[in-house]
Amino acid sequence: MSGLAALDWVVLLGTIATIVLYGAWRSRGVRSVESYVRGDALPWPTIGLSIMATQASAITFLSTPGQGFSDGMRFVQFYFGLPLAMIVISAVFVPAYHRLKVRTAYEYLEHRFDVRVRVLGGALFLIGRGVATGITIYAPSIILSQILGWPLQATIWVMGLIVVVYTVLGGTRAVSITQKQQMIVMLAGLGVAAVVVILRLPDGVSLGGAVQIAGAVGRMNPVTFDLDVTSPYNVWSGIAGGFFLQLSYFGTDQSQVQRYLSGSSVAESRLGLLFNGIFKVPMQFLVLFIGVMVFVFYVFSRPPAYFDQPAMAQASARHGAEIAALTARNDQAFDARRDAALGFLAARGTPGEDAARETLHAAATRFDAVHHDTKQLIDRAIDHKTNDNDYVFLSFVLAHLPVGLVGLLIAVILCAAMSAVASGLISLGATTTVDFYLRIRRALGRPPASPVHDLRISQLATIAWAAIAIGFASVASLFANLIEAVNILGSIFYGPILGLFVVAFFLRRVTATPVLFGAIVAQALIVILFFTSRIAYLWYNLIGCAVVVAVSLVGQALWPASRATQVDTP
Amino acid sequence: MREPGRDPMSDVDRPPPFLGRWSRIYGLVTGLLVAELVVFWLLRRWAS
Repeated sequence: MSGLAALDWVVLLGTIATIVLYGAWRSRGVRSVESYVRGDALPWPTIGLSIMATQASAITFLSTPGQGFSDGMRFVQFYFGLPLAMIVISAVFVPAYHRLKVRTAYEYLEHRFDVRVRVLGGALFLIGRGVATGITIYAPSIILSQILGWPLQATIWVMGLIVVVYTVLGGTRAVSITQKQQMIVMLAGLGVAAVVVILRLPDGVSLGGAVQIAGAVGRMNPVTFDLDVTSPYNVWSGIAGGFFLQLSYFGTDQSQVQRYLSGSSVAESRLGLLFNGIFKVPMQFLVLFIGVMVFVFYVFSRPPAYFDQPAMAQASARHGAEIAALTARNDQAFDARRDAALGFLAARGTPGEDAARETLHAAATRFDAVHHDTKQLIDRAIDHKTNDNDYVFLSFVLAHLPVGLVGLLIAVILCAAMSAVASGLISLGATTTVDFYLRIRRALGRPPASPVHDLRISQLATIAWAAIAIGFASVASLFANLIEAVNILGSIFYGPILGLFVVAFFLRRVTATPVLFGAIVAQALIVILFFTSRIAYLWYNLIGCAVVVAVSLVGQALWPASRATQVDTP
Repeated sequence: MREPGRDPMSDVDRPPPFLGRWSRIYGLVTGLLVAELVVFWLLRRWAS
């Protein structure tokens, strides 16, 4: 049974229902595959918010504050390459897509190379996005099912079915319009959460003091300059690796390309992308900062020994004495850390400040060690890996936010889940229809079917992908970190896809066969690296892209026959 | 806007000019990123 108050339910259901019904009403009357896939001339604010909402899945609001809580701010560096990627996409990709009036990114590859490259690009997208959409449904469902008191399978199906109904009825326009409203709710919820967590700090702990406590225990680390390729988050991997990941995601992933192709002009699409380029880093900073402030809150307010209470309960049933001992150690470590934090606050600006900082750091390390031991025991007891960080923010919301705001914050998480799933499904349906079904019909010499027929195929393809994603979500196991799982999966496929587009846009002499060979070699290499090396996943994007470019250039030089088929301009 | 009678396929593999009248807004976005990096670095220094 859920612990939500009646007012929370009213806020939650009212928010979701209003957004879905408004989106469905505003997008009624879709009658062709063109309007289903492209939408109809949306303005740049809608495009910008829709782009942000597509990327901000529920995982953003579950995992990321937890990451701030446990690991500090350094994850924000992951997004440093994003503004630069927005500029390159605005300058290079958007005009090319608009000029050729393509409906999918992969359609462009056939214009530039040939149908084989289009099929490869589309297939890599369908594999990667299909799995990622399943995770996007599954990840929040685990946690929401516990909060709402629903069975996990029911939560997965309810979320999937709500999204698929308005997506199939209204197409891209419905997705973008609902995402605009959903993003507004998300931003409002974030602002409320940030204010509440700061107001909940105990008397005598100012915002500045809280930031300095976080800094003393290594949580205020939004920039780190260590040049280590095995370190996932530093300035260099964020700008270089992150740039290539974001370039690939926003420039070649149909779930994002479809967002800005719905703009009425190049300028509208560009402004939508640059809006994201300006606001994404501050938004992620805020999400992580909320997690850091929740950490400081729990320095002074006794946290549970483990936030994932169902896992804790299961483990207690089997190892009650050991869990009790760990809980006692947790309480002792909490007291020591709280006292050290108070000592540090009192010592600021005095000669004893450095010693007090050291004491606090040591106490925090001991507390983290107890938590680590608790996690080890629970994982062993219930025989699968848990990730307590994903439960931190929601536990704080449920325990410490006023009635009504709890409903709003859960609506934020549901909105985020629905927006990311909707973009995934509509793009999977569009690619399947445009790049495979309609293309195969053309290859077979079939005459064009009626607009209604093609629309129905698009809708059926969307429903089929929803079934696949829901099916995957139903059998998926828990990854070490939900947001990392999605990003790692993306990084495996994005590098070679980006390589195809980089060659297409910037290497005019290279033709289809060398680039096709380059993409296959790059994809194989990335898979080998994933299983055999310790290279941080962000670098896969750069390596994959670079290998496609290098092999394409070498192949073009060694493959004179391919020049005969070269598409060139006067 | 497309030129009248121009075949869109004629420049299918020609990269568009990278800069142009949009260069100022691209500069603004880059400048904001640099400013964020500086602020984050100062924040880290102050907090630790």
